[in-house]
Amino acid sequence: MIGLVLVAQETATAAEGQGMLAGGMLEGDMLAGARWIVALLCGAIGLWMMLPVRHGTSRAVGGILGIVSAVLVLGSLLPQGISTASLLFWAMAGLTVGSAVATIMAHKPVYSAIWFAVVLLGTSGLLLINGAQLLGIATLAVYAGAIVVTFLFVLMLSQGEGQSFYDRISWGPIPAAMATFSGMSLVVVLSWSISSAGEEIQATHGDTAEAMALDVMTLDHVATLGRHMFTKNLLAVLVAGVLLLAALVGAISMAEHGNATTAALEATADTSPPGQTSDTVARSDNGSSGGNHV
Amino acid sequence: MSEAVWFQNYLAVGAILFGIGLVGFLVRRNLIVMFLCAEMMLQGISLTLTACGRFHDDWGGQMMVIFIITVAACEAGIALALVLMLCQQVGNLDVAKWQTVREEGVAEFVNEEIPEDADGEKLWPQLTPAGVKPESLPEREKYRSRI
Repeated sequence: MIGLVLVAQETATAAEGQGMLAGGMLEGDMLAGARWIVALLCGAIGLWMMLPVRHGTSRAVGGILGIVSAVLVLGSLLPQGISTASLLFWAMAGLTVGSAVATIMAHKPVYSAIWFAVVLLGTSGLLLINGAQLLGIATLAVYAGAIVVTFLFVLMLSQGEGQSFYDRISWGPIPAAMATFSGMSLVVVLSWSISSAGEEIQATHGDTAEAMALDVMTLDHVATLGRHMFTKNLLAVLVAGVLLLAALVGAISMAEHGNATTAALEATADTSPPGQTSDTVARSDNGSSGGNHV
Repeated sequence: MSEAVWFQNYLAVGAILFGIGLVGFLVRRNLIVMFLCAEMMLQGISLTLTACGRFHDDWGGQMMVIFIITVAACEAGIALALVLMLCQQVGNLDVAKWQTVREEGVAEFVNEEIPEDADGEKLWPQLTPAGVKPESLPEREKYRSRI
């Protein structure tokens, strides 16, 4: 843990990384901006080809386009020199983004859930090298340990059969293309606003890149975080506790009422075949009124 | 990397993660995969918040991520209960089964022809029969052809 903090602090001292991907855009370098746009475009087209919709193109071509996009991004990075921290960052970022793509393109939902666990691994690595130690571990423990496992439970409970058609055809190619385009435009707009805010960002921190004594990078991280949590944010912590309780009660009551509804539906289906008489309908109504509150 | 570049890189990765999650949420039809994609968008936001917290040297960013994790846990509990109930009523996780709740005047979504399973022939394991054959419930056979 301490080693990670040191690595991250070394980042602040490493001056050679100046002009990484975003740094290139920061300097108003049109070439880097254009390369970023082309990389995003390639990535979006490749993503559309890899999505589980039927459009007659091969997923391998989409994969190649995705690799081209990654190479374009890396190509703008390599000339600027490599430090340990930036290498770690880009490895984690690549892992996260790659497995995120795999999550949405997997045909089988179980594979999606497992790839999502890999996304969480990458994210928690990114959080760790950013100095958020508690959050990195909490992401692993809460998300990968609890939420993804619950997802897998539900998947296995609800989908005994391996593959379903709706996972293979989705909504069709045109809606998928529209969705991919909107996602790409979102990223373009966001990165444009990030880069256009670049000068202000530079003015705040300067590019002297000397080791700053950041408060959030302190070594007794958890103690300081706890102090902030239970003094300044005490009310919010209490509200979060109430929220958890409400969610617990809500989930249980939803499960019970849902069971009652399902049972009532099945009872109606069993007792009233197509040629039903008013007599049987009345009887089935009586039978189902016991447990049905919904 | 200088502190400013570090910050911008984190924002870029967060934006990409959010974008991929958005695409997945719009494209996929499986209720659970859609939900995973929503969680992925939350991950992108978490990255952005911690980066902002580090950049401004403020603990508020990390604090907000803690609350994001709390809300995500609540959301997962409720959504999974809901998904399980929905799934028990129609027999699968297809969100298009619930298009009857769509807005008035919106055309019904009709599946294009359903393709054959692309995985080729399936090899199911051959196990030696042993013991008594379990009783299989007829309503379960509706949506599970092989048990």
